[in-house]
Amino acid sequence: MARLLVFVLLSLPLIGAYAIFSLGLVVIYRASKVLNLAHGAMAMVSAYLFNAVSEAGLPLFAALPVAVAAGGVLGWGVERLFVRPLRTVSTTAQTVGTVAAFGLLVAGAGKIWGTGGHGATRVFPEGQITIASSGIRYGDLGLFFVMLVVSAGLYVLLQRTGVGLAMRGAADNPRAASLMGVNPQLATSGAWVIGGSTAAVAGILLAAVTILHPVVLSLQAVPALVAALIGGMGSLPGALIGAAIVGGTQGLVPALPSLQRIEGSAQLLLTLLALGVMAARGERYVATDVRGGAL
Amino acid sequence: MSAAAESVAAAPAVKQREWRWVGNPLVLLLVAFVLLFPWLPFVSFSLLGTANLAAYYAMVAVSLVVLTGWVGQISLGQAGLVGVGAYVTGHVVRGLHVTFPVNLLWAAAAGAIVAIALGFVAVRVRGLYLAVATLIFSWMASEFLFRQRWFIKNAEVTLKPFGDPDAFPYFDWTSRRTYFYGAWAVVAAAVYLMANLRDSKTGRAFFAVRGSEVAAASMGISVVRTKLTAFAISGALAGVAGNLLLIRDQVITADSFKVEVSLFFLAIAVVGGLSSLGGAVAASILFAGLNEVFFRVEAFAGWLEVVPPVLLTAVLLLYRGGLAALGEAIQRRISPWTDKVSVLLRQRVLPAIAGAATGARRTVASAVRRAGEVPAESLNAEPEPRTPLRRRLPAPIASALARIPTSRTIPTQPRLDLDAVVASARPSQNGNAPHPVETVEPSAPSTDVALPSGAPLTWRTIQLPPVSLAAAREDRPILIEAAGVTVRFGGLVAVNNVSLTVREHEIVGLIGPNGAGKTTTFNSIAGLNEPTEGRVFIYGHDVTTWTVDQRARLGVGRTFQAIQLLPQLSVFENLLVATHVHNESGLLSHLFVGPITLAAERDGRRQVRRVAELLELEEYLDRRVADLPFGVLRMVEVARALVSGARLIMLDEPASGLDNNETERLAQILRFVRDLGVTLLLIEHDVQMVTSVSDYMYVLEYGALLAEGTPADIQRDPRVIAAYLGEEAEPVLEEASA
Repeated sequence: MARLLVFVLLSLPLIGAYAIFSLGLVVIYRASKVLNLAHGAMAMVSAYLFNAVSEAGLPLFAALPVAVAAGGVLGWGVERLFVRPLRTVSTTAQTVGTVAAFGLLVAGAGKIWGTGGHGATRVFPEGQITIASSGIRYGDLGLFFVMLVVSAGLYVLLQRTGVGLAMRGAADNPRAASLMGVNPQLATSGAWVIGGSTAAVAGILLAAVTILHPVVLSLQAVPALVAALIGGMGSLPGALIGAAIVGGTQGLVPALPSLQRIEGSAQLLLTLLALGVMAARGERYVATDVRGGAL
Repeated sequence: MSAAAESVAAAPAVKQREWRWVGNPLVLLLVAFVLLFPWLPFVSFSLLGTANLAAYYAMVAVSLVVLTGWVGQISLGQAGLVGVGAYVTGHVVRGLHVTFPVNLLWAAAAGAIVAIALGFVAVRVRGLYLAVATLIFSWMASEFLFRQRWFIKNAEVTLKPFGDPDAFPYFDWTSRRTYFYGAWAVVAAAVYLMANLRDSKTGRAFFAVRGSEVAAASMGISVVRTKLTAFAISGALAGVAGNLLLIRDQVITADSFKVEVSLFFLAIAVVGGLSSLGGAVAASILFAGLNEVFFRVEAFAGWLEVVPPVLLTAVLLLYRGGLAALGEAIQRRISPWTDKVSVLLRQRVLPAIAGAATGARRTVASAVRRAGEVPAESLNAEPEPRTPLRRRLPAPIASALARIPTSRTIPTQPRLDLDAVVASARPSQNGNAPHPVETVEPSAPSTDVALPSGAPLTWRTIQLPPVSLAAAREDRPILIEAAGVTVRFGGLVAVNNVSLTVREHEIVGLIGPNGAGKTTTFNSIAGLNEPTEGRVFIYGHDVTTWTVDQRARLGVGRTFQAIQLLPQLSVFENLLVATHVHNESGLLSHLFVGPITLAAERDGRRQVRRVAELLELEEYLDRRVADLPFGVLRMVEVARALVSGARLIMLDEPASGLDNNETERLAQILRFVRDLGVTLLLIEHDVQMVTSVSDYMYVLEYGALLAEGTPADIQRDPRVIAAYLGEEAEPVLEEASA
């Protein structure tokens, strides 16, 4: 039992990071119907920026807001440069646009900070607390608690104020939304800023407990995508549940001796689960997605 | 979007391919260059390696063109499929000693099977889920599958097992020259097969599904089957690419199939123009060539990773047509002089060697074009009936195939024989055969609607005897029967116990105020929503649970309120898509342009021309749909339903968006279509139009049937008048319809 508890504790940071990522993915998806494949890359660049300004001597309380704001700007910029210009073509093209953003961010980060990985500046103090004779680092616990704060904040912002409604309206019917006094472009940009800054938070905290690496960190958003998918792609609580399943599976599988021996068995299980969720949903036809282009 | 980019958007068109390039000096030079490439003095060992890398890229890019460019399904996991192909090749080479040309089939099968498995999941949900599914698959493959001992133990293939020097065929893959010819031959074969596919029934189904799934289904195209076909083909090509990779490197590592590699492959395809085969190959050469350049030029060192995303971004934002559009632009520039040289070549030089070349030019387009050169009588002759392969199978196999539960056996109605109808038409006064044609003035006695003053309306038509309308309504067979149809959306009862019948050779109008449940009733009959209660019968079959495409195969065509045509294709190409149901050719025949495909293509083109002639759309046939006015497009949709051979056409608000003249013309065309032997059901807002054109009418109010009867009865019915205009407004309606 104590052994199981250890693995639960070990999965907490994963759950925290995946939850923040998938919340951001869902916010962006709801506001612009685009799958942001550049999400992890945005987080990665923010983490590198945080590391750079910290190493330049900026204290934590100043470096953190700077990097998170940079993440928001990044989100705004990706939407502005890679998604909005392709709105008239198709959502397919917009998704390819985020692939381009992913490529540019990863390649750019590699060019500036090198393609090798290294440790990042800690946000939470070094050290660990010991539970059941095994340690969990403050950074891991912190990541989980920050996730709780971020989700509570998003819940209040999106469900208790008009902001979330405006964002969804802007995506579903921009013209009707603008008649109701919502600036659809502003609402969409807002969603991307939220997505970008939360991604920055997750990226900074995750880099501190894992590794700062252009590709590795960027691909940490893939499990979050699985989580968002399991949660139904459009629901914030769903994203949280999905993240708990994905992070929990990755943390707990090593606890089961039979699965431990198979490398990647957690990924296999999650893939089967995600495909199963997809197969269980079902809608018949899409009216049309071509708005004029080949893409 | 620039004009060039738009023209490329039309590139996947089922256009009649011109084979001018056979005599094009540039092309001849290019072919010679490729064939001699490995022997050219400046071609170094490393440059040859780059050319070989390009072949691998090209194979993957072509696989993406089919799936993403043509069907519109993004794959973010192509590297995973390539990996499956590569590792499976290792297994069959080392375990089963299957050598080169044959092991390609194994790799293709492995890629196809995995792609179909993914597709089965993705087709069930709409939107970007395939993209997610493929991304997740790629993630799982690199974290799990490509790390399992049993799967990757044969990842290292020494050169020997690839061939026994005494055996035939033997390929010495240690030679980069051998690989160059082998790999590029495979790529050329793939491009040839895919080009054939693009111009076939399957290719048209791809574009139709990408454009509008509802419209595709309404033409009898099974959306699920079409997507699965595309997944399978794309997976097979990716598997073959894996095979090429293994032969090239002799040893493979999972690093070649990481998630980000899939994104790189997507970048290649997009830079190529995404829907162009030639563009995909060109982009592959470009990306492989970049390796060479960055390897050689010291100043560029370290920038190689930056270039693909920069190129992808540039193409997406600035020049969406990609290399394909660039190629077309260049071709337009230089065509004046290449044409001159090619004429010269063709008249003087080629005849000598043409014999062999002509034999190779067996493609849909050239064959159809040649068919156009034969005398008209033989063109009009019935195409010789050919039995599709599956009908020629031994009985046990055929019956086993028929039992496969994936496709419900739909008793396809015979196609409406327009030729027979036209042949029975009244000869015109001046008797100009073969198509009796005369001008009908708007005031012709056959129409009983007052014309709006305005541009004179002339429409030449064949005078058809009013089909069996003479028979009493009750004596004519029932084609559509909705029996007690109720549709509930949650607590809302949209349609409440509505029963209606549509009988052969009549136009039935379904009207009602806004929110009366017209569209819901219509959709229940069309197959877009299943009634909560009640049954729907079409041609006597209980179709209540049938899908849209199954109903279409039964012989039902339809038009849409919001036009659902493929904007980038020409009217001709759009109409050709509708020949789907009665085109019996199969996938293999499409790939190799078999005789069944040729016969079916010829027949389909004839059908399109016949309908275009009947509805007077010839002048628009080669125009792009996006460039045509709305009124014409409405006629094109009617024509499309007619091309499908349906004897039953459902029209969703056909007059919406049309002006008075166009509405009048539409009414004439609908009557004409009825006289061709077609039965029509329309829902419509324009009461005047419906009453003028219908033979029988149903009126809905608040989801329930309010009245039914002939237009004259309906116009007099006080309940209808009340529902539409309020109690006292009776005279207005009388005036309007007078």
